[in-house]
Amino acid sequence: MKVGIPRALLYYRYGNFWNRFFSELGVEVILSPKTDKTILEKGLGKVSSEVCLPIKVICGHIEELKDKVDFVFLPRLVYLGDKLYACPKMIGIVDIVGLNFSALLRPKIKNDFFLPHFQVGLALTHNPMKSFLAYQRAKEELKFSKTIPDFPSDQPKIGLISHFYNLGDDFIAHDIIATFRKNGFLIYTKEDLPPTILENSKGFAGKIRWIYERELYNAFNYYLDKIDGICNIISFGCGPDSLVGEIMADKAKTLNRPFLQLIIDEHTGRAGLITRLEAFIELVKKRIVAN
Amino acid sequence: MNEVDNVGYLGIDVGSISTKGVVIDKDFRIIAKTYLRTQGQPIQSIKELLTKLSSQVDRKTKIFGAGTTGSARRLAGIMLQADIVKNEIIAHAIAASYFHPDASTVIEIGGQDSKIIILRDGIPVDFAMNTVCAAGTGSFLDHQATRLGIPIEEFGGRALQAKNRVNIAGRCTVFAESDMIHKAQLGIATEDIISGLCDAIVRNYLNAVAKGKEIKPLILFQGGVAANIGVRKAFERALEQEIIVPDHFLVMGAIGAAILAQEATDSKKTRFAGFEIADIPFQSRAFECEGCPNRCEVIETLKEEVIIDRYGDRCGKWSEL
Repeated sequence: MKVGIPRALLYYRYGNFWNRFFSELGVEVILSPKTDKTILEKGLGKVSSEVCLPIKVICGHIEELKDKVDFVFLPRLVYLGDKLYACPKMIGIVDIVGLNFSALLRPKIKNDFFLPHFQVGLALTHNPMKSFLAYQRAKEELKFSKTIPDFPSDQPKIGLISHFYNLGDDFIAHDIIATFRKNGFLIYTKEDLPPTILENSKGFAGKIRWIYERELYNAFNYYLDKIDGICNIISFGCGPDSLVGEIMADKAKTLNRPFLQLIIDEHTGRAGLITRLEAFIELVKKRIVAN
Repeated sequence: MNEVDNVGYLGIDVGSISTKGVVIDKDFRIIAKTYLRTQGQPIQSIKELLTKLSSQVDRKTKIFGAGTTGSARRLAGIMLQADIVKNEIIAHAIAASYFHPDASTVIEIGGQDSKIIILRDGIPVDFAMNTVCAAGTGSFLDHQATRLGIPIEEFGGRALQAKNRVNIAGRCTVFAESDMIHKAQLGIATEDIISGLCDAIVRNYLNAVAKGKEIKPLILFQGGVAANIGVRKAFERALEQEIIVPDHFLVMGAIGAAILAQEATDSKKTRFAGFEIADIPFQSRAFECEGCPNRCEVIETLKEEVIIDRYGDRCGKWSEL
């Protein structure tokens, strides 16, 4: 029995949990390789050109796995906590993939993780005790405890505000992260912050009903006066990002903080991207010197 | 420094449509200036540019620094052995604030891209560039002028002869063109249509590129499209302010690169290879690396058949020569 996990979207948050869960079940996991051009091209051929880049990417990963495994594991995250929803495409992609490919394990997560995963374990092993224990042992991987990072005053600091599935995927974010690093910047992302900050529901964040958009906004807000600039990376076609990105751009402008919004898709040329990054880095550095 | 030598700094700006170059003296006065079409062959046009510039510079002038900018800045930098290679946003900003220290906004529209640069106290603080679409840039205007059989130099002037306002869709070049054809078929005067196009270009620029930016005076208008009086007037109408087109609007990026070259070589000897490289064969070629599934496109540049530069690989196995 082999279960394939696409290295995309939620894998970048729950990967450790899933790996642990399946290994406790005694089920072999095949993880798709890191995103590359071939995988992306496979995805492009499978899904409408109107969807966002991360959805195209996960479709490529599913294609990559299809013939190598018995099942592809594709959970549907609907909401967490107080009905904070995943984005519509993330919820719907399971149905889209399901139209052409039926060997899917698709637990539906509505805040509770136990029951949907228990059922997957049961379906694979027919052993309720084993499935129960596998979840109990794996669930420690669901704790995302982080401490507040340091902000050393002698180094330039940049906040990369983007989804974990964009920043975690080298194919999407490598050039951007590498360019900041090469210029001596310390990089801060929302994944570096503890849940107490990310899940804050006060102020404007309380009006945002998308889980990850609220996290992005809270991280942006937290970093705004602690670091030298914010780079907001959005994938073209991302509805929630286009709204929250606009609010962030507006706030950064009002408070006069350096803010660069990069919109990426499969057509994004490196040259234009690097030109923008270089110019932005220069602006941020000039500001640091001026202050 | 040798007493008999006149000091010169070379700046070149290699864009997708045009290649620009200047030589300035130590007081940033322009002593040579050239503008030509890139025609998809940057190596050839860089060489031609160098030949033309060197013919304008007297023998006693020696180049003490060289800088490159524009979308082919890297290639140009390698060929010239430039002292500095800088993105065109900073290069344009530097030149703008040198000639007009009180400038707050720079509108730059070139052949393929358009940008806005916000300056405060002479320092660039914010910018934006057109992202996925070249609507309203120089090459589109060129295409429309050719289609209407009007030399591009006269195109903007014709807009000023317009008697009526015509609304042209400016969001997309394809829509704009079909809208222009449609209006022409209704019998509307060409001048009115051209003027409507200028307004559409400005509207698109303000909504897409300059969106959310605070456009304060003094406003400079640079880049090839600044030659178009029709577009300039359309900006003045839309912003209800005077727009200044600097004397050297065509070569501002190149001037910026030359100023940066002066800063970069402040107390150092230049690396500049000399105008003679115009006679040396250069070649650039691309191949797809098959070392891993990333299939990176690697670009290499050859000087007299020797590889002098490679880039484009993610892992660094080719770029480390």
